[in-house]
Amino acid sequence: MSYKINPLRYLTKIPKIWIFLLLVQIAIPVAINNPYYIKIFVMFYIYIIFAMSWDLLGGYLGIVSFGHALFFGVAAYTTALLNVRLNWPPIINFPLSILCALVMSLIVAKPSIRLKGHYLTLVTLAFPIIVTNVFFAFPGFFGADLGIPGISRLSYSRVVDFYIAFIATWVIYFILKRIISSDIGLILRAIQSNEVAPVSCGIDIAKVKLQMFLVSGMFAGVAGFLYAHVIKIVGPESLGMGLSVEAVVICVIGGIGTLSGAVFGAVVVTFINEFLRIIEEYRFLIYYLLILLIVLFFPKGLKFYIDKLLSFTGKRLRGKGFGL
Amino acid sequence: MDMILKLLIYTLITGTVYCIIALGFSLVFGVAEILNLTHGLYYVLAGYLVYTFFVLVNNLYIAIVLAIVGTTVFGALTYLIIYRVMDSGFKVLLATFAICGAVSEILFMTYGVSPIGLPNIIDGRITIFGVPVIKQAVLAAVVSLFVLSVFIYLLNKTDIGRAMKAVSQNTEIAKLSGININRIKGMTVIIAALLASIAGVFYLPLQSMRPELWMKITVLSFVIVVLGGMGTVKGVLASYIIAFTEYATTLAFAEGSYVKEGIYLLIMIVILMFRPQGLFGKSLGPLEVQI
Repeated sequence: MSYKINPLRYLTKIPKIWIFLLLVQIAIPVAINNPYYIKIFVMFYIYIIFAMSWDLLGGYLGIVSFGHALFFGVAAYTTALLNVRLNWPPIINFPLSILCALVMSLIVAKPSIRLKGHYLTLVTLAFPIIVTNVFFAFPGFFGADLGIPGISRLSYSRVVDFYIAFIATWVIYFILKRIISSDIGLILRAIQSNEVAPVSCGIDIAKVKLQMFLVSGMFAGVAGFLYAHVIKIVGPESLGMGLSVEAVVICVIGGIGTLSGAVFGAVVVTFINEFLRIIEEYRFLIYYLLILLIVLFFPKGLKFYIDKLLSFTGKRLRGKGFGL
Repeated sequence: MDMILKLLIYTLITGTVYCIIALGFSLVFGVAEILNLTHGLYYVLAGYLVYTFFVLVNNLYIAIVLAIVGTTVFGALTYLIIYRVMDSGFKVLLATFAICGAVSEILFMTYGVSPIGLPNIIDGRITIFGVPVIKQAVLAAVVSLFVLSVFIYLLNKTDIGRAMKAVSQNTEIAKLSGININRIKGMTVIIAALLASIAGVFYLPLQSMRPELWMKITVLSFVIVVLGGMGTVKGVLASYIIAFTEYATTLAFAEGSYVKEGIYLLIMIVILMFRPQGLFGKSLGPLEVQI
């Protein structure tokens, strides 16, 4: 089921263009000495982590979750509560918030792994609403509508925040890449296309699904943890359907079932979220109309078109290790 | 005793209204096999159209008729979009979500964020078995019951109704029998919009009308349909269970009105774990248990 990998050998196989792009990103906070723009980049990484964790379930396993923000929000609330109510520093909160996200994904996975299609959508949609209602039932502790303000910063400077988010994103990317290109990735695709076939090969698909739920929930929790300490306020919208749909939209824009598609999608969504603030009242309208246009006319996602472009223009470059 | 009577009467009234909301959703689900998230939007849009036309023509009855017609036309327009993405359920979900988001944004921009109160058709209260009930609620329940019985009669007696049943039972055979599948699916979405808008026009004066209400209504009808069993008309009876849960939690806790949605969703998840086909749905074969 799993084979040993030599990490050093794997590192040498990274395409050169990736290394180039990573270097460019490392240079960003040095080049842009503006805390506002650096914060936008941190949000961009958070979106990437969150969307990639959705893609593992939605794109590879076919579990189309419309409540993925639950894990994100639970981790964010955990660290916010510990930080504001008990004054615990982020470094101690991190394992605890991940633990909460894992427990939550275990709870959601239990009924979800037996269901498919519309039932699954409803169950994933239901859990965030239930948790939000619990939050509203105890307004003194969870802050109800206003959320929990006054969370401390991740680190002492924005630039360090940036590098933490940067490292987290690419570490998670390579972990997920390993998972989906290993034998387990093959099983995931098999489950997505036909559940009977892997079952008849003696694979415990319930176990695989549970494992993937935990992995996905954990990484969404990492995104939520970072979010709480970057935005410094956590409200009920951090586990609402809007954010869940945002993860789906990022993956759809980039291309579902292509891990790196999340990066392209996150570029577009971050652009809409941050740079269209000038026309604040039309921002959401533009966002929803864009979703509609993409679903109607470009359902394959940006990754598909970029790959096509690259295979058209850069066959020789790709041969030298310059493919995406 | 007084409490129980109150609970029962409120449950009966609200449950009947929920019946016609969920009926359209169930129908779209059974016939077109899609999850139409815009269903809640039809309900809310009908209310806003009543408000708009009431301001324009200053006659509530004309406004109501125009609103129902307008929402039905809107339903037909949404089908034009759904039709293009019907090959995948996931795309339908995203597209309908985007429609809802865009339209509710437009409603926000036009009418502001504060909730709007719709005028009642009849004012005042009556007393049923010692329980005071708003007359508008009774009217909504009576109209819903009437629409429901007319609809079930038409479903069994007219060609379109029988064609709908045929498509929901077996699409391939229905196609072979010369039924225009896409036309029937379109008709179903339009009828769903009609039913939801009737419910909205009569029941929204009792609620505070906000654009984001669409999500609650969609989730509500979704839960009713799943609880009752997909594609069964009988399944909409589960709406009484939901209405009962809502009122019971509201009466039981001080914060009940915040958590009622969570409680019926929890009940639904528990029931789904033991009866994945819903309460009234037919038991599925051993291979199909994983729906």
